[in-house]
Amino acid sequence: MLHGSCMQAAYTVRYEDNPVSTGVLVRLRPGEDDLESCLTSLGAPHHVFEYNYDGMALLWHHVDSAAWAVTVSMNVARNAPGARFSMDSDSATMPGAMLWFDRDCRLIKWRQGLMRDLKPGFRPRPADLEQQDRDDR
Amino acid sequence: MESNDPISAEAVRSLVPWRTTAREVVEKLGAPTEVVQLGRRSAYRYDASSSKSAGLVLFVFNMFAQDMRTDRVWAFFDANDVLTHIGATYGTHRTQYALPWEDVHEADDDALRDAKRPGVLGK
Repeated sequence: MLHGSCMQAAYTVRYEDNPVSTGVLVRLRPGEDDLESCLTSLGAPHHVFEYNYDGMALLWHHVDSAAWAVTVSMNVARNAPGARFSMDSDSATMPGAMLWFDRDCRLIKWRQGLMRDLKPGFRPRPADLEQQDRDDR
Repeated sequence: MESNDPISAEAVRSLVPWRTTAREVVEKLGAPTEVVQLGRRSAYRYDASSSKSAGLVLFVFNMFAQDMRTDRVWAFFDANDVLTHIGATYGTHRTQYALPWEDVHEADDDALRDAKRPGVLGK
């Protein structure tokens, strides 16, 4: 026998920065555009990674997500423990764009997609001081 | 809610590629948030963020929205620590309180806010 129950629903949206313009991306020309022209067109990236030792990869992303959350709680009987049920429907994704540059800072290629697909394999590394010493010699 | 002070667009505009050094960048902008090694070159990241949240609480049905924008500056240096490229995006002044059905990406609104922030539009 139900003695008391409560249901709550919440709708939450989250924005983070502006999306990278697809119109700007499609106008980029690999082999012709360089780091300077890309920074002018797209602004500062969110992340920079080393690519093939002397190249680099730049990543832009944004958040535009909406999520529903439903919470139901009830007492099923007097002196019995309460029950609570909740459900989240989160459509959060983090779309973005990545640009790759060679050692001369010339654009090699660009891709649009989700961050989890664009970012794997890129990890900032600390400076290799021994390698720099060898280069200096 | 904010993290770091907004980046001075005027200070960033005073940096000159192929002339300014990493030491001068740090003197003007302070310590970077991150330093990335790029072969023998390097890149410094400066950032700040601002977020505003709004909610409508009707007890059974509630709505919330959060808008977060960032200032980002990346300074790229050659092997001799001379600035070669700089990229800047300023967004912390564009943050706004809005409910889920409101558009927070209106170009006119962004342009008005840009005009009020020194250095962003080249003034």
